[in-house]
Amino acid sequence: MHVWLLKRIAYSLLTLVTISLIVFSLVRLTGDPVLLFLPPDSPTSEVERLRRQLGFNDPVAVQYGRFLRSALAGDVGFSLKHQEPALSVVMARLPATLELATAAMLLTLVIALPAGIVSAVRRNSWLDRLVMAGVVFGQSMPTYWIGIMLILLVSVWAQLLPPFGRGTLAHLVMPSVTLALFFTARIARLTRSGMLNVLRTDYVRTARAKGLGASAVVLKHALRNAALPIVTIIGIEFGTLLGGTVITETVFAWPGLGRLAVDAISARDYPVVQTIVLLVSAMFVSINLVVDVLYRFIDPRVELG
Amino acid sequence: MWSAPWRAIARRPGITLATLVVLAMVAAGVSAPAVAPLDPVEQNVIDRLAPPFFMDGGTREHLLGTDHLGRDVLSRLIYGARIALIVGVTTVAVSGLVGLGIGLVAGYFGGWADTALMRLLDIQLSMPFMLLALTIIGILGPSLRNIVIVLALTGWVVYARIVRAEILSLRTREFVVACRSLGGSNARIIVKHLLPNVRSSVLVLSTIEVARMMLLESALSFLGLGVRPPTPSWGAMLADGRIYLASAWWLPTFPGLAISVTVLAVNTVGDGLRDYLDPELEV
Repeated sequence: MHVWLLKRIAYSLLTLVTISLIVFSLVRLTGDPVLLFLPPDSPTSEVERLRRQLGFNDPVAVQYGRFLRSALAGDVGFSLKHQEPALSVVMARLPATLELATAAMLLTLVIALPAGIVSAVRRNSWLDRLVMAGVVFGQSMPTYWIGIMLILLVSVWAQLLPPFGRGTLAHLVMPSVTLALFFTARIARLTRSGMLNVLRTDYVRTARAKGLGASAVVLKHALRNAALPIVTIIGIEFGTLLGGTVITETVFAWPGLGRLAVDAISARDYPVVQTIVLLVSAMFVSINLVVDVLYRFIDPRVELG
Repeated sequence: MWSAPWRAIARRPGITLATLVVLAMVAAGVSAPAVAPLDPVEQNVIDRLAPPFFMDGGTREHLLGTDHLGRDVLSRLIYGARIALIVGVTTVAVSGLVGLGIGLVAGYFGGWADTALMRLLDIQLSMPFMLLALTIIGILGPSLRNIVIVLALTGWVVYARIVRAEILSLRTREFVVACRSLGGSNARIIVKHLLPNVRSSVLVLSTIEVARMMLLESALSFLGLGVRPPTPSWGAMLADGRIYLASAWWLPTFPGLAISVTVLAVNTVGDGLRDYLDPELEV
């Protein structure tokens, strides 16, 4: 177990280092970073002096080491657009994104789990067909289009909810529904197939043969065993959901990380872009790590490789 | 192998309909210059924001109305099918070939190549794709080529994983072992015995991936990171039309419908193919 855990942690770190390398090289691709600090008509001697001073003449490996060291200390650069350290610009937007992602995840679970379970238990019934049709629709419609259609129907025509911005609970409704739709479809489908696999097993047949009631079989025997893989998937999806907020936040002018990322990219504010990618990747990787560890901890049958 | 699935598809009306929609979309995309009633990029300020024909003030000249620059929405939708098609097919071709190759090598030869390739795959899976795609395209600049590169970068993983798993179970089967003991080379085993057996999974996967790639392309275009204007892309049309939501609801509505119907149809065809060719495949 310990060896496995150490390996798993080392592996998460390796992933993060790879991502930081990608981010580092991408930002180097954008051209001479020194020119960003100087007025466009600066003399060459001035450019050269600043380049030496900021260490851009050092070998790339040294520069990467320095980048990594300061990133670990929380210094990921200075946002020229916001005139603030990039990290504080990003941290200010983090709560909004977490709020949206959490609301969407809760919504997803409340709808997707019962839907998936019911459609597996009543396989091939009209209810199952309905759920599966919903799943296909949910996975085929672009998130942002659903968001815009919601704004049109609910805000413009019915005038029930505010079309964009953040503040009250009413502001949260449409963005979280929009963000939740795709994931609801995914998790309902995975719950259904997970339950179908378990319902096929011998111990479920035995439980039925013993004369246990249908609800006891489904809830006690089947669901418990189907739950673990579903939990793993939910953990992974939460990470994807954080990335998925980019589009929803753009549609609803939600002041979170995703929108900040889009704005920062169009303003060529790379320190902020860099920080967001690193921060979200770190959250993503840690969630996966925690879920993986919990999974193997809860289910002793899982092979520790 | 080709006549049987078509017969199975024809037996299910939903899938028949979806197949027809896909064929219509392909036909529209391929023959856009012939089918589109008007020039998709020609602006006409006097006719701007004209409503579709079924509303007051709508004309037969612009069946689905015009956008904020007076361009014909229907013609732009038809040309947009072209972009969706190009992106869907090229990204799937590139990522499918790469993924197939990697899956084959990892599954068949095993050893350090397998370990390294699977590590690479895991690392890629634990990255927030949308953010990285945004960053890469933001830095390289939005263009059709860069979109295909970024989408192909994300696509290969699915193929590699599934092909590898199938190869692993195939390589110890009797017909492979027999071929080897008769002196068959690796190349012969791969071409004659392994590839034909992963063909149906790859086919099903590719269909579903075309749908996913079309969705991703439209999302990137929506964020302004897709093909450059004035080339009509459904996602970009939606983004442009969003500003006129209150006054011209048809502008964001029709491109969204086009994307949804197309993706839904492609997914349905994929599901049908899976049910027929490879019901155990989980994608």
